[in-house]
Amino acid sequence: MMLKRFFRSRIGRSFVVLFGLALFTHFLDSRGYLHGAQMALGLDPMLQVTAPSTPSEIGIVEITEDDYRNYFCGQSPLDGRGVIALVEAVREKLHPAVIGVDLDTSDWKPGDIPAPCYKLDLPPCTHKTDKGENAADPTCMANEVRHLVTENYPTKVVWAEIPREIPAEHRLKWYELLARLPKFLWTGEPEESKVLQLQTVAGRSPDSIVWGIPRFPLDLDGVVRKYRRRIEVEPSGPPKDSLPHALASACEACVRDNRAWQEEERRHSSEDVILKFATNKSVFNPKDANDLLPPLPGATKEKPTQANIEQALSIRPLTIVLIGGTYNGARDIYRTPLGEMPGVQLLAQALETDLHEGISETSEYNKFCADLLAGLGVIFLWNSKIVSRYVPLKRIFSLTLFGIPTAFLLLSLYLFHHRIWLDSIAILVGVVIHQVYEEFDKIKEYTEEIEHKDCTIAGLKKRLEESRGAEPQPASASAVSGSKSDKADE
Amino acid sequence: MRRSVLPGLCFVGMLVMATVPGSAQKIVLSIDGNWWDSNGQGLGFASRVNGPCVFGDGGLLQVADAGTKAAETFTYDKMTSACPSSCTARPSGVPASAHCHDATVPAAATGVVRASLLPDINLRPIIDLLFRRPQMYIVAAARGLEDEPLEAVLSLDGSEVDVSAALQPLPTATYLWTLDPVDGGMGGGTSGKVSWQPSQPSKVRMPGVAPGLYRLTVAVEGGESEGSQAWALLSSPAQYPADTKEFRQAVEITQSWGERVDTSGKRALLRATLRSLADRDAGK
Repeated sequence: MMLKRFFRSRIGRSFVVLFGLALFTHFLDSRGYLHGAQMALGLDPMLQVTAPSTPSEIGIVEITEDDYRNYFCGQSPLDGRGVIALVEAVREKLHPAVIGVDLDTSDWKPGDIPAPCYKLDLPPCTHKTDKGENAADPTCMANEVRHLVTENYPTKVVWAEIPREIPAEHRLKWYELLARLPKFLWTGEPEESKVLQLQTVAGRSPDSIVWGIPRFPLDLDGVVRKYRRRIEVEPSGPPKDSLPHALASACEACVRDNRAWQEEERRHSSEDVILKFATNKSVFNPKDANDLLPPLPGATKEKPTQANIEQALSIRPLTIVLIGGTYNGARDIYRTPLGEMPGVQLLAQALETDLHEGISETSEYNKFCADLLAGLGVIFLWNSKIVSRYVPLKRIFSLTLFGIPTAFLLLSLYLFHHRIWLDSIAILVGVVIHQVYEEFDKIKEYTEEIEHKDCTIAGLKKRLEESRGAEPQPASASAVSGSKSDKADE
Repeated sequence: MRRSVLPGLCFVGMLVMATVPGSAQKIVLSIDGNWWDSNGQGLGFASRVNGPCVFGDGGLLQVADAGTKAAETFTYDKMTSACPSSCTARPSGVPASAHCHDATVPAAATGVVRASLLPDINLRPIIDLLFRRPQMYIVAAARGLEDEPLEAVLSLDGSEVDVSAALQPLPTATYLWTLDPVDGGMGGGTSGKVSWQPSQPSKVRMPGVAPGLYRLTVAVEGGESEGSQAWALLSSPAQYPADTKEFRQAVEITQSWGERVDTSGKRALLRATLRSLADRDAGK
């Protein structure tokens, strides 16, 4: 009974509207209807403003269009022995602790007899038969890879593992889907393809090989803003490291004294982490593959420009070097908040984020709570007797409409500074709608008050006299006559 | 309380009734030549087709399913005298020269994944509004060239398009496809899923799509989100034979170039051919 009375009261109605609106804005938010505004007005500008610009200890070696044509004969996928030659060159000339190979090597097979591009001038992959003839060496490729992963090799090499799609028979069964129904209704996201079949490097090379999955979640607008430390793979078991995280884990020098990284590692998180994008490509000390590979026969080395010299002088000793392809045939260009970016640069951004903490997104529940909190602020401003006594209605309106969203925007900025992203667009939408409701409800309340009370001059006089304690009978008679004369005047 | 419950019960009842498939009543929409149903009953315009088979001695018969609202055309020339197993016996009165065919009217095109829970109501637009699309991913590694769809002329029959000509080089898989007008002037894009098996026809429903030149993007479902693209000319049944013939000539020319011209050069010629065919079809 009391509950019924509460919900019929003005404040009760406000709470019902608050909860309904919170659910509504959560629906809009979770289904992606606010995504464009959230990114354009919130996250993307923040990422651009806070982007690091100092050179990092991560380096990139790019196989450019010219390198692809000159050293790999324009053939794709890249010749395995050519890639191995590049890894060797990186180790010899840049001396990193870890080398990341962000190239698809899934076509390398144990029995492959590679035919390297003649321009690379690699020794033939053959062996002498008993008869003294040259024959193809089926173990050649495996030996080359094995050489890179032996314990004696001074640099750790981490390979990209290209995931494959999940076969239909391994998709979730109906009862598994049913168990996920509450989460599905709350988030609006259908079955997520977490499990993947992998074309493992281990199938064609020693088990000691280190690998990671270069897989990035894509936002609704087709832009890459996040990465994950771990990715669930098939068959079911512990999640595997993503390529950025595998690289960070392989670099002992990078994580030995990095307490924040170690803490994150203990959490075993598989959640999305927002990337801290570096605006300038030079942050990652880029080098072309032809700077490291042996010069082509007959080619002359161009005289370095001033920019080349300055760039070379600014390079710090590199701890991790990533090898990737930026040639057109690589099909490895992605959209980011900073524009289009090659995959290897994206990987470097993710690695930098992994080593130096990324930005965590607030959970759906926390966002829902923040929305409720903002709504409570609206209810307080519109219903509090203390506020209405000292603050004029006009100012309450402005405070609610601008004050609360501004407060949450500032809170969002503060949290972003502390590596937490709280989206305030959904809250803003909720507050505006709630504000309109409260305003209409207040007007309705005033109208009802005016209708129920005698607000004519006679009525007001009557109430005034009643409050003064005048004699009721004659006063009322005079009031009635006064009221008549007033009405006539009107 | 009762007032609010009754409409709800009525709505649920209507839903249940809608989900129960009605009797598969088949009606003749169009007829040319002499045709009979499994009972040996001669068929005419708007007559009911009984039994699992139809028999005809020439021309064509178009039958509609009252339950699924789908139609199927049976052409005498494409039928054989050998009856399918569903046609147990040839009824009396049907001449021996008549060919027979399974009278089944497919509810939906092969390979189309319908989001509808009800047989004749497509709830997909509503479901798309209520739920977000599955999480998409990219694989950020230099991968090199992979199988891509081909430039092709596709037949647009009503709202159905046979995409097999464009998907020819792709391996068996379920693909997410997107179709966008190349010039952006024929409305927004449309998308869906197709279960592709090489060398088999694969029809997809594209409601509201008009003949013209489109950009077809395909991506493996559950795999990467970055799809491969090709241009496709959607031709009406009247223009399809002529368009296909001319486009085939262009394909043969590019094939004769061999290794002398790279893929992008060949593709440029095929796209130019498709554009000229699209302009001709549009009367430009």
